[in-house]
This record gives sequence, C-alpha cells and structure tokens, in this order.
Amino acid sequence: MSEKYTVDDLLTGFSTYEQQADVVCCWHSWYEGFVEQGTFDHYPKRDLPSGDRVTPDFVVEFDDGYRLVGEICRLPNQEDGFRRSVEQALRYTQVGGDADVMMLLRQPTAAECESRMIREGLLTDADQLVVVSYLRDATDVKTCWWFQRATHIRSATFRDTQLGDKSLHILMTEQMKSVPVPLRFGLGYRSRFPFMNDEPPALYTAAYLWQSVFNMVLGEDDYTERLVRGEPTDINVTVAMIKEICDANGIHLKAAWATAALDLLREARLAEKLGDGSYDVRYGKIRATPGGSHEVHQQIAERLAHSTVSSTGPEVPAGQTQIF
Amino acid sequence: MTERLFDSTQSSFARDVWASASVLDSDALFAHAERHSTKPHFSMQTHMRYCDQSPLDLFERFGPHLMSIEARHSVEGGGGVARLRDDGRSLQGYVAIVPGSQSNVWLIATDMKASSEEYDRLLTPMLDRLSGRLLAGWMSTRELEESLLRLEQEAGCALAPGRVASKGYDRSSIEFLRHGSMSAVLEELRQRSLHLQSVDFKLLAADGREVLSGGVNKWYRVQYRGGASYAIRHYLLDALESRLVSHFAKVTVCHDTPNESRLTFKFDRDALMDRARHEKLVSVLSQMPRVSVCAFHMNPYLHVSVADYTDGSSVNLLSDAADRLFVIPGPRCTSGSVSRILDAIYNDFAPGMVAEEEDDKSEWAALMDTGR
Repeated sequence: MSEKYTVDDLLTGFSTYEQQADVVCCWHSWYEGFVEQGTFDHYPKRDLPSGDRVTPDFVVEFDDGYRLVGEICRLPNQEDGFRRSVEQALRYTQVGGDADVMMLLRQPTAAECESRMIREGLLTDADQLVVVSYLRDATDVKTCWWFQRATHIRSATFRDTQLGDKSLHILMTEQMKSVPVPLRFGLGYRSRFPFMNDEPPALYTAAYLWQSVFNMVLGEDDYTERLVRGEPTDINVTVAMIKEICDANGIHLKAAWATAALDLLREARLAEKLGDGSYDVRYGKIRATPGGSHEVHQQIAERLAHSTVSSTGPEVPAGQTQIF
Repeated sequence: MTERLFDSTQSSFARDVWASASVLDSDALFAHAERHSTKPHFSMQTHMRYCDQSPLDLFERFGPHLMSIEARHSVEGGGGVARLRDDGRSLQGYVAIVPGSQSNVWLIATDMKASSEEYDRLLTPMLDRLSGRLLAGWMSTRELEESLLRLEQEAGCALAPGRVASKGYDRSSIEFLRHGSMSAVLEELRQRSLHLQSVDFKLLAADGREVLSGGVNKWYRVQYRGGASYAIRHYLLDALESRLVSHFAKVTVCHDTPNESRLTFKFDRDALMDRARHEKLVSVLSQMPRVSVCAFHMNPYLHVSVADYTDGSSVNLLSDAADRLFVIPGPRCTSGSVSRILDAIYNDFAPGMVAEEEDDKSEWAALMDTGR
C-alpha cells in the first residue's frame, strides 16, 4: 500500500476541483448566454498597483469600467489561513476600474463565514466584496446552481444596476432572490473550459489527458493498425506536445500541470519516463482489477493507492496494463 | 496448404462471384444469389456499411495483419471480391463487396454460414477490426419495424415472421417468438417492453406461395435465402440504405466547433433519474469494447468523458435532466464513434433518439421568472 496516497483523498481532490471549475463555467454561461454584456475572462491575470500579479477565478469587464471579480473560496478554519484568504480576496478590488469582488462560498458554511469575517474585523461594511453562497440543487426537473447573498447584513453590493433586470444588485440585494443557473447552460462550457485558473490536482489532469488529449497523438491509420495487429502500443508524449495539442484546441493547460500529471501516471505504472524527458504512456483501455473500478480516474487512483513501487521502481510491461 | 484443398470447399456461388469479380455490381451479385438459392441451405449475408472508401481497399490494406487476402477488383465502382484465408486452420471464404445505390454505402456479402468457423474467423474479425472505418449503423425498434412494414406494403405480400430475436433491459437473454403475423409480434414486443433485434421472415403472395425468404437485424445485416431478390433489394435494402445515410447525417460531427456543438439524445421515457441510473449508464459505457470512461461528475448531473480507441474519438456526455443526454464531440471525434456510443446506450441502457436541439434563449427567459 502507498503511504503517499489514499483513494479517498485523491477522489475528493478530483471532485472538489471539478465542482469549482463548474461554478466558473456557470458564471461564464450567465454573462455570455443571458446577460450578453461584458467580456468574461475565464483565466484572468491582473497586475495590482503594488506590482503583484493575481489570478482570480474569473473577471467580467464592462465597457463602462465596471469589473466583477469572482473568487471561489474554501476558507480554512485555522485563524491565520482564514484571515489570509479573506485578505487575498479583498486585494482583488484593486484590479482596476470599479471592481466588485464576488466571494463564492459553499452554502452550508457561507453565512457563518461571512459573520466571522465581520466579527473578526476582516471585512468592513464598505469593502466592495459581496459574499455569495452557491448550492447545486437537483430537486427541480432540471438541475440548477443557485446563488444568493450569504447574509444581507452588509451594505456593500454589486454596482451593476446598469444591467437592469439582469443586475445582481437588483436580483440578489434588492429583491433578495436566489439566482438559478441551469447546469445545462454551464455544461456547454465544461468541454471547452475543463480547467480553471487554480492548479488542478494531478489526478484530474491525468484523467483529462487520458480521455481527451492522448487520443490526438495518434493518426487515423495508427488506430486501425493497432486494432488489426490486436495489440495496444505505447504512445510517446512530451509536455511540449501536450501543450501544443491543448493550445491548438483552445484548452488552457499549463506545462507544469501536464508534467505533474505525467509523473502521476508514471507512479501509477501507466507511463514510463525516458532519458530524453519524454514519456511512454500505456495508452489504451486500462485493465480492470477484480473488484476494481472501470473508470479511468478511479483506476489511476486505485493504482496509486495500492502501489508498492518506489518512484524509481520497475515498470510494468505494457501488455499487463492495457487492453482494447 | 494447396490451392486444390481450398477449391474443393468453394461453393458454386462463390466460384461464380469470384469468376465475375471484374463486372460485379449489386445487380450481378443478387442475380448470382437468386440463381444459386435453389441449392439446399443457401443463404447470403449482406452487411451494409457506411464508408467513404472501398471496403475492398481497406481489406487489402489492413487485412494481411489478420489473414491471407487475395482481391479481384471490379472495373467500375470500386467493389470486387476478396478471398480470405486462414492457412493455419485451412479456412477459406469469399466476400463480395459492391457499392450500394447511395454514395458511401457498401454491401459486403458472403455465402459463408453465419456462425460457421469460416464466418467467425474470417469475416467477423475483419469487420470488427475495421469497425473504425467501415461504419455499422443501428436502427431503433421503430425504425426496424417501419422497414419491415414498408417491405410488406411495397411488395404487396404478407410478411410472415419466423424467428424473432428481442431483448429487454432487465435481462440479457434473447427471446424467440413465433407468431402468425408481424403486427402480432410487434404488439407483443411492445407490451413486454422488448426491443426488436432481428427477424427472419417469409413473404407470402396472395395465393399463399412463398415468394421471398430472408432476414434482417437492427445492425443493417440482411439475409437472403431465396426467392424474389428484386423485392429484398428494392423494397428492403434500398430503404435501409437511405436509412443508413440519414442515420449518419443525424450523428454528424461538426468539426468547426469542437467541444461546443452538440447533439441531444432524447430518451423515450425518463432514464437518468438518480445516481443509480447514472452509474448504470457509466457502467454500460465502460463495458463497451475499446472504450474507456471517466465520470467527471456522477450526480446530480452527469458528466462522462468517453475515449474510443477504435478510432481515437473523444466525446463528452452530459445530462442535467432525466429525459436527455447531450453528446459533445471533442476535436477528434467521428460520427462512427457517436453512433457506436448511442448504439450501446439504446441497446443496453434505455431507448431514445437523436432529437432537435432546444433553444437556450427562451429557456433563460423562462427561468428568470422562477427565481426564488
């Protein structure tokens, strides 16, 4: 058994990231599909007056200078961490223009967290930061994300009344509504924006590469050849090659993320690192172990958790790993 | 292995088709078949495939990895005849390949007995391993029904079903029903929520004479055992060709907007109600040969990514409501792969069909009225 990994931890990290990426897509669909004003930046990089570069989760820029900065927070309980997270979100008010920060927190804890920020003096009434809770609800026929202000205590609100009946100020503050965004609209963005600004867990990237990027390394004839020969062949990939494929298809992926994913696949004995820095990937349908999962991300997680192989240990021959 | 040994196993039908390969087209093929159908136990299996190049070229190019191949090409049309041999097992069979009447449709025909060793070791692996190139469509129960009723109507003869294979979702068995009339069979299938897989039938003239004997399955495989080949060609195969073309038109992948444009698969009834059903769908997909799945999200909505090693396709499947599934092809994705995925879903999960896309804009507007 591995001391480094447990299946639970790996899968929790995977699904937390997936959920946050989904929330960003959801807001993307809101502004592009419904509000139809403003420019949505899915991977913002902004320089603060201090010279620091920041990467919030999304920024929407409007012609009149209004900015909405979105940041999904998972606030740690621990005092220092909690304070630093709030301070970081507050700095986003300095990205230029009239910037409001939407701090997104999961609903069960959002109100409690906002009260704590006020109580501990981390957030004043005047700070242009609005705490919004998010909740996924499947009780309706169509699943929606619901967004609402966590508490209505503070005066700070969205300065977007120019958007009329699509203004978050009007909807969330004046009318005190929960705003529904059907998943369906965000779903359309999920394939185009599988990643957000935050670094993904290596397992998430590895599963993505396996399912949606490695397939583009081989050509049409290669697949037919593999089939008629009856044996899967390894594919040789480099980080640069992966980056190039993603860039060509509009997928935002950092080289460091790809490296982490390939190293993880190596640990899972699904790839081998060669002397020239490239990787041979045992690309194909991963053989299910008895009682094991049939899903790629779970199979990788299981292989990691049950790995007894040191990082420099022997590699499993291709034939034992993948099938068609 | 000597040529003589093989020749002794060659049927007279195969010999004639092989000898006339240079002028073979579908008319000639069926003329040969009709002539030889008076011999005992004759039957010709025809697999209809969608492909933008001649299957014979693909057989010649990739087949040698699997078996020995010798091909004779037709002068026109791109078809011909392939002689397939497994020397180690002393197996030999002939496969005729002719273009259909619609473009990109091909008929791949043989008189090898279905499930014979020759058929299983020569034709089956060839079609299976080339399935990324030679696309096999599938029909819903309703489409197969319509095709049979049309045959009955156009021929002006009664269609008497023989062996009927059907399948339910809660059991994997194939059932065989024997009934007097096709409509009685179809009604029984409906009542028992069974799906039609294949039908063997006879066409009976008004005076009771048997004018055609054949069969068809939902994967566009047509069997001709004898009788009026004109009827099976023009009242069944032609209709199936049009259906195959429109099947692949429905699952066409738009390559201009990968990861964006989508198809909607609408289930006949709610099929994705809860986590258990989502997991069932993911399990069905993961059982597909040469396919791997990753459920990025299982519940309350479903987001599964599917990689198809048959041809390197990648697809995202998403669902936010129990009665529909969105299919979003990735930058590398073929209509063949979309068809295979939907085939597995229809066959092993729940019935449905590709539907018109709903309009997002009106849904947004309606939604804001429900804000709470």
